[in-house]
Amino acid sequence: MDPLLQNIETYKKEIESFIAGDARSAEEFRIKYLGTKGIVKSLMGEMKNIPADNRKEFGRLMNDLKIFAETKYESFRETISSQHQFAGDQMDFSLPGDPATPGSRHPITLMRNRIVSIFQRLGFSVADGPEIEDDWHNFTALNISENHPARDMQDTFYIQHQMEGHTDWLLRTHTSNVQIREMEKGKLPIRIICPGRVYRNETISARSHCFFHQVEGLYVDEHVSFADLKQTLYFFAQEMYGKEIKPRFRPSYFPFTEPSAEMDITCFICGGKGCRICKQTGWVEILGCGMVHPKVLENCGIDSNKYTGFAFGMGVERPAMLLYGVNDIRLFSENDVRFLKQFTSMA
Amino acid sequence: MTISYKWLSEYLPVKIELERLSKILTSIGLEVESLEKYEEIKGGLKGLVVGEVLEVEKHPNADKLKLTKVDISAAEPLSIVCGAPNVAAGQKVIVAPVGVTIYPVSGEPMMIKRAKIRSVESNGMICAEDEVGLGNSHEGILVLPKDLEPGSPVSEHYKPYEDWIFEIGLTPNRMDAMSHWGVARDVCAYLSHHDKKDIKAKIPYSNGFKVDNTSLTIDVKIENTTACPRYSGISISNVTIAASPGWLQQKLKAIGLRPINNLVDITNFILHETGQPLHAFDADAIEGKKVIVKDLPEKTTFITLDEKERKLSNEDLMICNAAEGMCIAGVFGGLRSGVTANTRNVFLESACFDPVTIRKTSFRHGLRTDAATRFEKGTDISATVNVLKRAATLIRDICGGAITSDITDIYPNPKEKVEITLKYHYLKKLSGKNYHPDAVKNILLGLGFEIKKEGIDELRVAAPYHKPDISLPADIVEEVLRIDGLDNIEIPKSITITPSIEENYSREILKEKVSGYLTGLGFNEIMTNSITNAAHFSEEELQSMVKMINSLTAELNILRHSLFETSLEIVAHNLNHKSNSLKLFEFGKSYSTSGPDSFSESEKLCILITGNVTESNWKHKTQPADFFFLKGVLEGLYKLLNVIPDKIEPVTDPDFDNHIIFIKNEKILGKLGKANRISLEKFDIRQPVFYSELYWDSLSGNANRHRKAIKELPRFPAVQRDLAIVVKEQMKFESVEKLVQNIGLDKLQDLHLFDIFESEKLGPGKKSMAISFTFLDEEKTLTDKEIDGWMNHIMSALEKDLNAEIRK
Repeated sequence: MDPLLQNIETYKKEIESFIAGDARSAEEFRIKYLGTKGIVKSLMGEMKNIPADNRKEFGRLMNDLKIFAETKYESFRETISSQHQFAGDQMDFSLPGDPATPGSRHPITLMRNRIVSIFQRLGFSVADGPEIEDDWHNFTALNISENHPARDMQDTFYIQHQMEGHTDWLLRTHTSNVQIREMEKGKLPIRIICPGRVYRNETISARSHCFFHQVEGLYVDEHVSFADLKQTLYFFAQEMYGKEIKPRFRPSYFPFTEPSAEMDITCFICGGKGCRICKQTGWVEILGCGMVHPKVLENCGIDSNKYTGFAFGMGVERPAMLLYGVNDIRLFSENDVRFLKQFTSMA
Repeated sequence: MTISYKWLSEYLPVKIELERLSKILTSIGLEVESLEKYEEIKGGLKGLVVGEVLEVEKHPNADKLKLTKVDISAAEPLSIVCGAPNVAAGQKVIVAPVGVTIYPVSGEPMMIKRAKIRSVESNGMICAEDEVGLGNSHEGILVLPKDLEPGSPVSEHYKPYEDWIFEIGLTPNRMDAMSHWGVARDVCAYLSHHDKKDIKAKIPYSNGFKVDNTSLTIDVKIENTTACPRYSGISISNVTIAASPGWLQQKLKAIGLRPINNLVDITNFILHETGQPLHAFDADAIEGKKVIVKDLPEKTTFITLDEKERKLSNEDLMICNAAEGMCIAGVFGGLRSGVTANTRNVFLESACFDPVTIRKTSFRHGLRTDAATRFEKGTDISATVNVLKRAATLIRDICGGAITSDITDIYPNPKEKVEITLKYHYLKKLSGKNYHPDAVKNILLGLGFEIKKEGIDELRVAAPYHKPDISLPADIVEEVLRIDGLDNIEIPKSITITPSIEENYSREILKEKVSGYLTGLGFNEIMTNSITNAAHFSEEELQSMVKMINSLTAELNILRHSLFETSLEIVAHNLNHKSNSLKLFEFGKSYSTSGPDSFSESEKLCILITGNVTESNWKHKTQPADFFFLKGVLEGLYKLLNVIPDKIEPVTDPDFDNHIIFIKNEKILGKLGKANRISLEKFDIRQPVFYSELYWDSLSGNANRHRKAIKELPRFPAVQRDLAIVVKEQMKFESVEKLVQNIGLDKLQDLHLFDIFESEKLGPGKKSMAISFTFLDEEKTLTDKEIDGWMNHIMSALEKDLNAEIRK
């Protein structure tokens, strides 16, 4: 065997058995083998003295040796750096670990998912629909008459379009348009939950914004009654706000439901004694609901003598504000990371 | 709407405690938003007692102060320091002893404390009238009549008026409850049903109505009977306009109305008693003694009561005399025809107007008057005459004079009552509760419905005129549920559902999966406004963007076509607040026009980084954000979703430098780039931002949900070989990758670029790439010879086709 090749073998063994316990001996290793005047470099210099036939083999072996030495050196450095703060034999365990900072979900997503998942457990499936909507799906089909205040420019954003005299286009003011679109498909029964973004032409303030989020639900089948509505929503409220809450249903009014109601629960902050959140009443309003208005069913081509249904809707921002103690709705759209990072641990 | 407890109680035949009444109101749909005590005198003079001044001496240390001894019938007379000039022995005065809170006319309430005034102790206060809310004078202390008993409460002497005021959040369908009597009717229906007694609200309509003579008959004519289906009127002559009697003033003040004069106060009183708006004209201003209800030509000028000249629309309904308009019907009176302090003769209008006409006029002129808000919800068309009788009688009783005409009642097309058949099984089906037919009848009768026909399983009823919105059996069901109480519908123990199959399931799950991946990498989710500022965009961009007709502000007038601008706003906000390193993502929609009458919305995922992407720590330096960090994040995401782009193309973009798009099957998956100076300057951002936007619809379609067969694990070891090549600086890694792939070595599993460097030693315009190749045969262990063969193949191809130099 060529003496040079013999040398390579020897160095390889040397390197293998080298032990560097601290930074100084690691540096010695580097200088000895990998330095500019080190063994690897000087062996490389011998290349020209190798017969052409063996040159290739020599090159390959040298390359291996170099990589071998480098790998060894890296491993020394790693060991040493992890022991960097040794004090005698004692490692400083109090040093922080490598940073692994988890990000965060947006509080509105968290709240939306929380609401939606409760209803998914009750067999509701998620349905979606457009935000740019026509007059029919946002208003007319929902039994909102032509002169209803909701249609005012003060309340609704209308969209420019070129077909004059055609239907009005607008930014949906509620997610109820999804209910209409699902009912129009004519596949009964329907059991859906519709989360989404909605718009109102309202001055932006601590309490209101021009865009916000809603979750609405709809169940249409034969023999769906107000009692069923109460049961589903009571289950929801307990899951959402705690087992100990008590529900109260108050008659209310929405053009698209009859009878209509609002659901209150005993205040989850003060337990019903009266506080700032419940305005001293002991009750907090959590959602609007009712039995789908027969005209709405008929508008969607559903026989209101055969089918009945219930619908409900709630905002996402409001419970998020109540449960997370946020008192300015604008924080949700400002997206200050100092705010967002506080939700890292929220499920 | 404001309802007074005392006033309401006048119509209730039984006494209902405040607490219970409050609960009843909310349960029948008249939500009590607040219940507050009304006190004519704030604080109600509570704690104040009558004192007798026994002695008055000069204060030793102050010229203007006096020392008094005041008997309030306590063990000892009180020593009080008093500054009033008029205090004198023998007076009966108002004393606020220590611990009592006084409520001055102006300023904050104040609790009386024991105090040393110029080193003399004072145990209370002798009060002036403004200090306790009895008047505005601060001339001196208030001196009470001599016969009052020392120590007795001052409130016994003044008997201040007290009441409880309900603020009711009235829903727009409840015009029947827009008055004290209307609320009483609803409460009585509740009481009859729940207390099983026949309880009817007392009808306030006066029995004492009598026409004195017919000396002032005003002729009424309705030209527009659609806008005014009924108009009733009556004249009262020789009235004296003056202040109202105390009881009337108190009632109005308690519900927050300012008394004006007896005539105006009576019309306001009637409005809040019955819900029917009245309008009083000065009869002497009615030209030609004629009232004509009609529209006036477009742009007719009219001066309203507030002395403003207004241009009328020909859709504004007007109450006119023979010569001109007198009043915008149902909305606002005119300056020349109204009642003044000198009015002697009055013509009183009690009419019914079309809600839509009133609403439009009210908005057109910006006149949101109390009358208008009532008419636009609809009023009881059957009530006009009875209300007029009640009002005329009250006016004669209070303002004097005589009723000098019959009631003129123009009602050309009397409205029929709406009849509805309610099937009991429908009631059961919709409510989920069994109601006894007698209970149903009782509830409906109590609310004013007429029973037309009774059957075993159904009931035919006529809806009362005060419930114009009732037209369907479902409306009747609501009335029954409302009075019986929604809380009395039992919540079933078990749940019966027809579950539905989730069609969007994988979409939802994938979003969660991607969000989990990104938050795991330290990204924070943001949520931005879809409405943004047109000023951010070029003319060309604006063409296909969705614009609003009406907008909130000039800064919010267009729907975004990308998440880029709205997310840069967020970057700018955070940089301004010294959060310099950001990793953000957003799921959001972008919007565009897709035709003259169509719009499209597409779901996007944007991911951006700026500042440092890792935190500094004692082991590692921070890593600044760069193109390849974000590209790596995207590559991971593609793996997660099983969507591997087959092409990456550099494309110029006005907003970006180093901009590429990812393509799969000719479809664009998304883009990645470094925001350029121009786009960053718009938001005043001075550090690099790397931004990517992905089309969620193209991405989410390919993930495996249902089935994926796994690959068997290899039984033989893989072999790795490294190779360094020197190539031209411009050479793309992609070219090397493609070339090697095209050789078609089926045992080549992977090639991995692990180093790139440029150095003078390599020669100018050259760079070195170090690549490791992994070979694997599933059937056997590979020999060195085989691998050498393949490596030679690779090397010669690189040398030949890419002109690469193999580094040895």
